[in-house]
Amino acid sequence: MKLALLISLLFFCNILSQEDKNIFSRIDLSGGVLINSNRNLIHQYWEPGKGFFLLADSPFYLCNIEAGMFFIPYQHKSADIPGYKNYFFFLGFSKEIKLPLNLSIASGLRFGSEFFQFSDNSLSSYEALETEFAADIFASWNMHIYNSFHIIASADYLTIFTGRYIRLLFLSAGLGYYFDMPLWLREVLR
Amino acid sequence: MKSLLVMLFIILIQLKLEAQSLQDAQIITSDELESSGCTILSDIYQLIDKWNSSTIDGFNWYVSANGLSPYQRQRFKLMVDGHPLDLNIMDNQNINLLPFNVNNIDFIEIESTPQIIIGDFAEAGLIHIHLKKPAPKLTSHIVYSTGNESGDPGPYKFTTYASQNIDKINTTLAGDLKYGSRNWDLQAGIKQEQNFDTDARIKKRIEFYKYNSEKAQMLSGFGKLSLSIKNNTNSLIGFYSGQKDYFHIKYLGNELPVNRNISSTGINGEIILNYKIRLNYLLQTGRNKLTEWNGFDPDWNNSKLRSNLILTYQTNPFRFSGGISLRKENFCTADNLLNNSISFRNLFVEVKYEPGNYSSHELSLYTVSHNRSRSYKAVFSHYLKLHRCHSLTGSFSIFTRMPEEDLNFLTWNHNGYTLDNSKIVYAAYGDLRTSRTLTGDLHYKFKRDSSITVEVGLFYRSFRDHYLEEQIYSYDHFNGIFFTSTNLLPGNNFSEGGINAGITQQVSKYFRYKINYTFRNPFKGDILFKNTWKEFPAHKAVMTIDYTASYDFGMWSRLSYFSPAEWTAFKYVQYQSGGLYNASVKNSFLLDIALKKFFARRMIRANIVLRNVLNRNEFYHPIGAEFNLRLFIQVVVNLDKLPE
Repeated sequence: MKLALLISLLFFCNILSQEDKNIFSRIDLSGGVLINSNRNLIHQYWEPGKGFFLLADSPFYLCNIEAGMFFIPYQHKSADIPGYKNYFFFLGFSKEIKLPLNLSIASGLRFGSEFFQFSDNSLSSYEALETEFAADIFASWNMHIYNSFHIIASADYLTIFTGRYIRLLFLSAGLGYYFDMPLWLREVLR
Repeated sequence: MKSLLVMLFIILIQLKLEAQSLQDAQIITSDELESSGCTILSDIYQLIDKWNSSTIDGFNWYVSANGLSPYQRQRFKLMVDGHPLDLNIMDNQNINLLPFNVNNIDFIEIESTPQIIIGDFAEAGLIHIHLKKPAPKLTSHIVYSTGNESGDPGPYKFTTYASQNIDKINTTLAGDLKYGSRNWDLQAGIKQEQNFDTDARIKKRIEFYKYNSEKAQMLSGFGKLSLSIKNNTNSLIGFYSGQKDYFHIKYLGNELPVNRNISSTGINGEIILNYKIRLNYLLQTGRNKLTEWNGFDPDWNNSKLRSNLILTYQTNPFRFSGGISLRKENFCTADNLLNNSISFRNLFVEVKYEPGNYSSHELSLYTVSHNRSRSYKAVFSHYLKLHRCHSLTGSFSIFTRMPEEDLNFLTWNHNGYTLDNSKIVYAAYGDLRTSRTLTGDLHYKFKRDSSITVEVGLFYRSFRDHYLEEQIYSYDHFNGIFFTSTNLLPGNNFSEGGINAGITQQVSKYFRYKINYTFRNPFKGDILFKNTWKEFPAHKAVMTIDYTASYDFGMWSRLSYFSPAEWTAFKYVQYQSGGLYNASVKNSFLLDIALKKFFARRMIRANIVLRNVLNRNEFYHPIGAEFNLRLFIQVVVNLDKLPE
């Protein structure tokens, strides 16, 4: 993880080398389903359900900037601990490489806040919500299918920096649609 | 030393010399503050090259400017637009109590050698904050920032793997309103800050006293009016800060809840009598109070009155300055004091000789009178431009200091102050004497146009007859608190020296880096002084990379290394606490990253700051919080087009 952060730092230094007129020129919205595919300590207590993701990304200098969220519920395996809903709100940077046959691959880093909403009415609102910093390295595969639509599949390796780290591998698939950024929104973002 | 001076003299004769300012201050600009994602004022300590800093809770910091004082004595001076502000209570000077936020700052001038600054003798460093001048229109700014430290238990809190919860840190909400005109401007601001002392290493001490909240909070406000009449400038500044905080009292060893109130009102200005003579004045009053919160009443009420008058006469190649400064401190408490008022009369004179554009030399003399005692301070500074790219700066000072000048816990304790009858054991062994200090700083700079600067410096410090406080802390494992007594030991001697070196390069329009390194080494001295100096890391190296991709986006990162530090006052604590605390602060290797993005044509600025990205052990004090990876978010809204 530390190595990945260092590599990402160098990566950003390298790619952010000049101003680009394409910055915020278009926006790509995507969403889809998400599953947590690995098993470790956390899964001894909770079983992940099926979740979803929402993502918006846009050109930013020589990479893309992203904002989005993951949602996935975790059911408790034992009656004495509550289940929880897991939300990850993030900001990220990615680099896309175009391939033949309307294909592209992308990879990058996302970081943000993880929210754990516990399902236990006996907890106060303060106790029922936990937040923590999290970072995610991902690789995704895109295929353009029709007009501005594309399908997306991705693998994310998320580290949640709790006292004992939680490491989760997510696999996701969904549909995306891109369009030119409205001028007013571009003005706000610039 | 003599041979060095002879060598300098020869160089002076043989080489073409070019004069510049003698001041070799470090300037921290608002751009640097923005890029580095400073969210609270104490973040600036991490940007100062030659200073060391230590904290227990991440909010109250102790600093040492260029080895000019130990952490025990917080003698550094603080100024805001020429107004000296004294926040010091019991050798704790929390810069975060200043009522404005980082966004209000235009630039900060850091002085790391002894010198006279606007009638004040800054013998242990100076932080001079210059606020942004209001634009000639009505403007307003709103700032919100908050931080989150990693290491919470998350869902594990319901399992056997539960860990300590760490709440939000350094949450700030601030706003200001400014109006500028041709001859006058006015600004006012308000700031609220919250901190949560929830770190496991602090929480137990606070919980012992059964306080129901770990939240420390502050509310502060300021106002400043500036007037210019025929080239004469005058400014009136007032501020108030009220903070409910867990104040670490080193004489007890623990944090106790206090209500800290600091206020100050002052007027200063410059009157230009003619093109050769000008007059600077200052009249200021202030009050530092520690009062009851949650049952503990320190009953500390220290009011201050200060005035300065400085006359400057300029006739090339000389500039003469002289002045008088009066200072009166009153202490009000329920204890019967032998003396509740202390006053000082300061006289000073400065002569600057600037024969050409290639050299300048300055001699400053300062005396402080208190009752029938006097202390003397002298500084001799030189600037020599050896060549187009090479320059040499030297600053040498020798000064004495009366113990009364410190105006700290010792001063009032000797007069009968007891700190809420807390049975502090504070014993003096021998008579306190006037201390003597000798400092020398030599600084070579190579600067080729504006793209690259290489600097190498040597420094020497010699302390004679300084008093030091000795504490040996014991840990009560059952209750999680500390005990100590304090021995006040006069007559300590010590000398040290070291080097600092740095390189700054503007590689391209977008990319700038800076590397700084400091090494310090004790030469000889008494064991207590040597132990006190071990609290500083012997090696400190910092690399900063500033990447400005465009006018609306930038990235900043800092990689820092600090060698281990040793706090002998806590030498038994590791065993007594079962390893929870350690007298050594291990070496640290830290990476911070900050992103800056403007939105809506620079109306909104957002910073995302990651501190301790590598999530290594980050400690600054043996019993202080452990700082994990932290995420800070700051949003600044610039309302520059308000209806008038």
